[in-house]
Amino acid sequence: MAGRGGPGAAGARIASAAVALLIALAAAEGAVRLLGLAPEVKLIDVQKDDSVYKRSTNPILGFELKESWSDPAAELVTSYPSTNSYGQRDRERSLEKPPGTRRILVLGASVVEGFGIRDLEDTVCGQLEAMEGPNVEVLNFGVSAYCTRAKVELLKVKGLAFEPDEVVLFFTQNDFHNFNHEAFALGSPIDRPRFVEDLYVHSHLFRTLATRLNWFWFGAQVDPTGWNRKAIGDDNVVDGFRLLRELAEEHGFRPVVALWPRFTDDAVLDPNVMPDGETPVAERLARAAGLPSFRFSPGFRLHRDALGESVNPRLQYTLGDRLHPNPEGCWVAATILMQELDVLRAEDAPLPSPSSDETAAAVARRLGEDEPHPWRITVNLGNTLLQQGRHDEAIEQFRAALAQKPDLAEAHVNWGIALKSQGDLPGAMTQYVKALEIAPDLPDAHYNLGVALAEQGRRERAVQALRRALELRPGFPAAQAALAALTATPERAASP
Amino acid sequence: MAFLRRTLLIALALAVALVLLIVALDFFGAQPQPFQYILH
Repeated sequence: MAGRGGPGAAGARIASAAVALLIALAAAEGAVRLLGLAPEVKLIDVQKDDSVYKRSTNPILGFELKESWSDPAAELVTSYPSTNSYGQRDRERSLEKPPGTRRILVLGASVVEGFGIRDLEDTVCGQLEAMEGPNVEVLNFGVSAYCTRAKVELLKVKGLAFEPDEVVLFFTQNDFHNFNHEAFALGSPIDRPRFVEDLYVHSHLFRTLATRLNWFWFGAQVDPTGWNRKAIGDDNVVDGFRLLRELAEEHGFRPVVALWPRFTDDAVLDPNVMPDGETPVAERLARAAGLPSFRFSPGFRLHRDALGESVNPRLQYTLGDRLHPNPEGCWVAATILMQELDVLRAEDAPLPSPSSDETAAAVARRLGEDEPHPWRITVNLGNTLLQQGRHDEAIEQFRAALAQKPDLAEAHVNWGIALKSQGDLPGAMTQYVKALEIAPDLPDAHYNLGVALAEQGRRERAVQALRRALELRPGFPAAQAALAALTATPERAASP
Repeated sequence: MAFLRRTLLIALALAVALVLLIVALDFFGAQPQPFQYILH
């Protein structure tokens, strides 16, 4: 028999500790289940390999574009035809700047990224590069939904390596949000072992701890904007501008903040102005940070004046959504940007000294109080399921999204599409009509209603709906095709 | 018998510590959103 301090006693102690640990884990598992502490998990096996975005390991970025992406059939919302090997929606670039080349790096969100635009040559960066000539490279560093701080973070972690001579920051509405809207359900940035995923699903204790402590990135996955918002802080525009100015001084590039306007049916406006005047909040903050800035709005107004007063800025310059430029909008923006950069170069003035503007900072803080919208993920998840032909599951998501946000017209439209795919045409039409009650100007709802009416043989009303869709979104290819098919075929009697 | 009692006591202490840790994490603001999807 071994003595008290012998190997036998040590073995017994280890065994005791191991048994104690097992019992403790089992007891804690029971307690967590009893108290209901673990977050609910809903297993939906959706392949997200078709998204151009991936979750980032950098909490300020939250998500990034995937590198060397190729998708010829990209639908230009969750996917683009290509990205380069550095993960930018841009043509391939060398890290090292070619001798005699001037590099303009453009930071931005979806406006710069080219949301809804298929050809790189049609984006603002593509058109500016063509205008500037052979010795100038214009690097597209746009990533949808990035706020100011995230845009500057992307410059810091990726962009500086390209040695830019000029950095333009496109400032849009989402810059004020102190988080990056994550609109798509994204997987984990790391591949987890299968047993870890199983453990997460089956053990409440592990799920509770892994979620709260972000083990294996479960925390980030469960609350994607929470960790992003925490890393970004409450003053993202002020912090982002300050960092941009510091980086400009440190790395010797010329920075400029470019204020993107809003295009309504009769005007080109600067959104988010100070309460007591017409100065955009971002312009005040840029000045305070010691950064030059300019507005796109006067250039667009001049262009519109040349075309004539009857021109509708929303339809002339955007995809119809008042924000994202169409190829013509990109061309005008590139022209304005080239002129503004020429002026800045000609002036060659040193950066003004930074100061403080507490009033503007307070307004920006208020504008940044918007909450993340989980329904965006839910509705996009529904769309993915719909694309995969999983109609019941898709409908469940649209229902959930509408429970979170009842005026979500697009969820009604897609719910209708799911019902129609199941053969429930009247049910589908009810959903389209509900969508139009919420958003009478939604072209997709008019289009789908038109197609459904055509299928019912109600030709006249179908033509009306399709024409309305085309009025609201000129060049809407599906609506054009449906209308052409409908007007080319002889009228047939309505189905009994 | 003493061995068993000691083991159970340690187990109880560990279990309580774990649950308290979770509650403390919630208290300090680490509580996540109540639902989410796991996508494989």
